[in-house]
Amino acid sequence: MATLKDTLEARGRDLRESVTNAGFTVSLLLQSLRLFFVDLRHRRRFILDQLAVCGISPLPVVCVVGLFTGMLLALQIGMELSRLGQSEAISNMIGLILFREMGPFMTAMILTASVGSAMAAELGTMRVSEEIDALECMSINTTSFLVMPRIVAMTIMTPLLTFIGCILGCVGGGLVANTQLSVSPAVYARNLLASLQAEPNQLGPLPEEIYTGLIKAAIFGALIATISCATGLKASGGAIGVGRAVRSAVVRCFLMLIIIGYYISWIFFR
Amino acid sequence: MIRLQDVHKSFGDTHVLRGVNLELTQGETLVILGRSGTGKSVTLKHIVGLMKPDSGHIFVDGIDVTSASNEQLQTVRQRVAYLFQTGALVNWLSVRDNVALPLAEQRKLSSAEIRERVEESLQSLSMLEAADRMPSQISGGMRKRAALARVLVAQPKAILYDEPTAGLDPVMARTVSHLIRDVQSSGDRMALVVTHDLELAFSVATRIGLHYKGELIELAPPDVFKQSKHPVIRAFLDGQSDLGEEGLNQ
Repeated sequence: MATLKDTLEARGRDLRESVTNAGFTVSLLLQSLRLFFVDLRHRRRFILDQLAVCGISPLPVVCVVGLFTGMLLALQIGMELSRLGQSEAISNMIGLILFREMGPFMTAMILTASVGSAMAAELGTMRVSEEIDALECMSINTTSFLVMPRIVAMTIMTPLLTFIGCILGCVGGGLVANTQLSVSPAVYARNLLASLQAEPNQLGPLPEEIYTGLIKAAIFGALIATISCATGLKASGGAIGVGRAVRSAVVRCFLMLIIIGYYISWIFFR
Repeated sequence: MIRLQDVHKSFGDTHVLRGVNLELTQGETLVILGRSGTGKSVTLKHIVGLMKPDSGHIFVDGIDVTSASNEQLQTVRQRVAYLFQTGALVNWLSVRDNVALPLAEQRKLSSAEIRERVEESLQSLSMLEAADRMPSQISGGMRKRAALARVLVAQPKAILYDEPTAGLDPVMARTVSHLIRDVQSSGDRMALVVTHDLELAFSVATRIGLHYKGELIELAPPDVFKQSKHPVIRAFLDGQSDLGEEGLNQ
């Protein structure tokens, strides 16, 4: 039977490992930021490759999830609003919910599951099959070669996918509003734009709500890529180790998305 | 010159290296024999700074790898190349791009010069035909050759071969051992080969040692090594599973 000392020692080791991993992840992000300015010219090809990986493959899922999330929101909120005789206010709520919170979070979840997990698996496999050791032996900076292009690509593609997902969500919401709640498309669109322009033209041509959502999405993108790469790079122990790294990357991403997401919202909307 | 001085390394309770000493000079091909899992590859990884010893020193051309700065480590890694057991090619790059990688990353040569050196290296290992294939589309033997081309293109002063014939059929193993011999005879470079393949060892070595219980025993020329009376070496050469421990105990 494990003694109290053994249990405390094990918890202590876990804590030390968690702190070490967190430190490694932060240092990877900072190094990548520095290397972006130093190595951008040499990494254009890898960044373009990663833009395709991060943007094109998850696009169909983002579109379908965006559309149905908007429809679901419209259905649930619409039923309550119609009871209060406020059906026309549905687009205000859908726009705000999608662009502020649901859009970035939903896209980040999809990207964690599809792209982040793949990044952790790819780098984990490279680690256990000694490919990363081989790169280090050739004096190749693995952060510049493997990590920075992925972080840059995710930081660019997450807001873009979020925007597409939100637009489709609004379209889906409009379909339900029109067919189930008899809200005309013109009223729906007018209220939607009005809700997104509470304080118009503060940041540029697009409504402020959209900017804040996209900034949040960009931060989420960087977060997913950094955590996934860091976890993959630390993989050990063959195929089981890679599987463990993927699971760990997805769990860490989900936790960080919800925690960091709250604080970003707190900064923007308090 | 590569020199290991009283190198110790443990993983948990397992003491893998117990005071390894060796010296490798220009033009020499030193083979370290030993059973799988005895720490032969660990010795190689220490030389290129992939692992740090618990104690002891490793010198490459006078640079102490154990306390080297990043710049010094980079110098060491440009002089000493490592051929991994699996080849360790980057899976999402073609064979040609893999071979070009060390030169492209050094950013010292023009694209035309890199192309020329890559073609030359691939040609020397009869890999030109497979140059545009991905690593997953070629056989194990071809992957080893591609990895060797990647090593040679950087023109290192020393090459560390980690089990170069492991997992290959006898014909391919012989081809790889001929390749190593050709590479060694074509220049004045050092080579350190770790293997359990006796045929490879006796065909390429200028000196052979046996890695046993964390130490190197009997570093000697192949003919002397073959005649050794050491019970562990005799047992290894005769393929006995207890590696002569009875003889040692007597």
